[in-house]
Amino acid sequence: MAETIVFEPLQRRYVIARTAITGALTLVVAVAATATVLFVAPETWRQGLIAVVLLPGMPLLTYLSCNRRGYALREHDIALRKGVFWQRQVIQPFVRIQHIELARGPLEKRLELAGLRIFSAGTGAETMTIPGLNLATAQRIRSHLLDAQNT
Amino acid sequence: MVTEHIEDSTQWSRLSPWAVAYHSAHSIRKILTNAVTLAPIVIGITQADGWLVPSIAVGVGIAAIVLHAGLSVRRFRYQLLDGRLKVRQGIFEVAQIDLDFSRVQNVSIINPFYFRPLGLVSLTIESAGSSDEEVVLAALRDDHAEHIRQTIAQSRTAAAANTEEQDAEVLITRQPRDLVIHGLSSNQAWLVLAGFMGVYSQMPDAWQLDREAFMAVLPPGVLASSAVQMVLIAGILLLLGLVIMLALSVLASLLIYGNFELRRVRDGFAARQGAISSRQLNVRQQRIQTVVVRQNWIAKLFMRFNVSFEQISHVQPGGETTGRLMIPAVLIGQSNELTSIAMPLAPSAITRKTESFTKVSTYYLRKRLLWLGLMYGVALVMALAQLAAWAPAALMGITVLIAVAQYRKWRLLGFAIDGDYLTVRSGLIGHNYVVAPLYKVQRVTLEQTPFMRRRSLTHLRLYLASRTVVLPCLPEPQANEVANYVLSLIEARPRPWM
Repeated sequence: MAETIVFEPLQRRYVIARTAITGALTLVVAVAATATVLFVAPETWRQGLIAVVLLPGMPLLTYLSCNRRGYALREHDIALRKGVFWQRQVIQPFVRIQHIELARGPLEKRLELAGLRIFSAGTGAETMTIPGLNLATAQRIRSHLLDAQNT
Repeated sequence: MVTEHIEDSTQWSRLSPWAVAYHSAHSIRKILTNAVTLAPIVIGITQADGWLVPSIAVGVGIAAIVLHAGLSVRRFRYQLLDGRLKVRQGIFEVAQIDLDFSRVQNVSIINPFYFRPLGLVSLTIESAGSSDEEVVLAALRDDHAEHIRQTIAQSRTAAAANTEEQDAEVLITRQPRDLVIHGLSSNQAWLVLAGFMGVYSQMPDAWQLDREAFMAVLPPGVLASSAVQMVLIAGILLLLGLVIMLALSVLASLLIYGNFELRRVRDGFAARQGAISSRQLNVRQQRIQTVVVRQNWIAKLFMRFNVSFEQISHVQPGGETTGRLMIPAVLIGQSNELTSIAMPLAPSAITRKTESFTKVSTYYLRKRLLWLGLMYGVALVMALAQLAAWAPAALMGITVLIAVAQYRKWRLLGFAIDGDYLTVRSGLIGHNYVVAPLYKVQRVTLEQTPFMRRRSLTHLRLYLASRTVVLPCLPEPQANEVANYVLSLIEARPRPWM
């Protein structure tokens, strides 16, 4: 299965927006930390500023993670791929779906995007979250899942 | 119905006033079971202010609990309709629950000792939907409770006309002897002990062991004794502690599972248990998600297994999981028999030869041995630098022991698929088995770490409504094959999973 599933990537603009947001947040934290070290903390702390070189890692990780995430709508189930280092595939048969949520935050609303959260029985948490779908795609998948569930 | 008033207009029934006693006792018991964590604080308070303030505090607390119970019973209304139960409850915020009998997972009749002379029982109805939907009808007349239970049982199986469960076949009963074995082999005493430790450390100094008095009790010259003698004394104390713990565990087992009786009823199982407060548990066969057969080293000595039928689990805030029917300390043949009754098409003997189980990759073992080696290395360096000459030898001994244990764990770990059923065997000294009907799997995940990717290995996880079954470190093609097989069972011919 692993080799046969063809995963659809998330929308490009979602990946870029998420990376940009993480980048911006990292930058804010970096500036605040640097200012604190330079103006408030004792001078011996300044060597610690070397840690700043690690900061580009954050947006990079976000980018890789979003880029890697993908979904596949198959005949009887929906699959999700995620994880950069710990790679995981989740496969959820339609007939075992308990309920579906369409999740749209401020970012999604602005970019005409939507996320799908799919729940199965037995655990309180969701089985899988597929973020960064076109709104129309998300709605289409949702109605497809609901139809499949009822047959 | 003598004890219930019926309001003419709406047909709502109310609970008997005795229900206040049940709810109060229930709340107090709940507080007490969680109290182990609170105990240090409580003792801290008593230490400060003598006995007057704490006894007032306890009095006020109990009054509040009884008042709360009284109000909730006064507000409680229920209505038995065709095929469903309507309940209105809540003191300030009234919630109405509409419980359809088709969604009912368990019905248990609880018979606390203080209700015995009154001929009253409490009926607990658990829904498969969520733990919020549990309904407790406290202090019903026992014939009325039995009537409701049968109504629910009958509406769940439409065709059922008269299920006389008194005539149902008794599958298994447990004698005190079996329960003692169960108590020995289930280590719930650890929890009790941890609680006592917390309490002890907070006790006023006067209550704690007086060190000088303790020394005086010891035979003279003990402080001058050799290391060997010290170790011996420590060993004896440890053994004594172990004996006390086992005694507690046995006592708990005798109380909880006393008079255990499991009966086969038409759509599942009915169990009765409890030495002081008897409790009846009904489990529908179709709702059973997994059968778990467990054996630890003490159980292995007695050649017994603890069998549980697991249903959809709601993890309660207190940490206890509901929806499990446990049959304590059964023999190997009985556990096979029970499994095959619970899952009619499962392989007849879960306890088979090692050869019939598929082993997982040696990577599972190699990874653990590698970590063990690393830790041994670090510990060895430290031991050489700091400790006496015998330390490296002891370290070597312990390391070899753990390595052997890991090897045995890997050897025992295996799975077998027969038709619709998966059997997973695991264990260290005793054997544990999980039997799961594959068509009840909710979802499947495959997981790889970077190291596993290089070796083309995958963890396969099968999520059932009751538990997650993990098949670790399978070769990728095999993992895919199993995953595809499971998915095909679910998807090609959908069958109800609950």
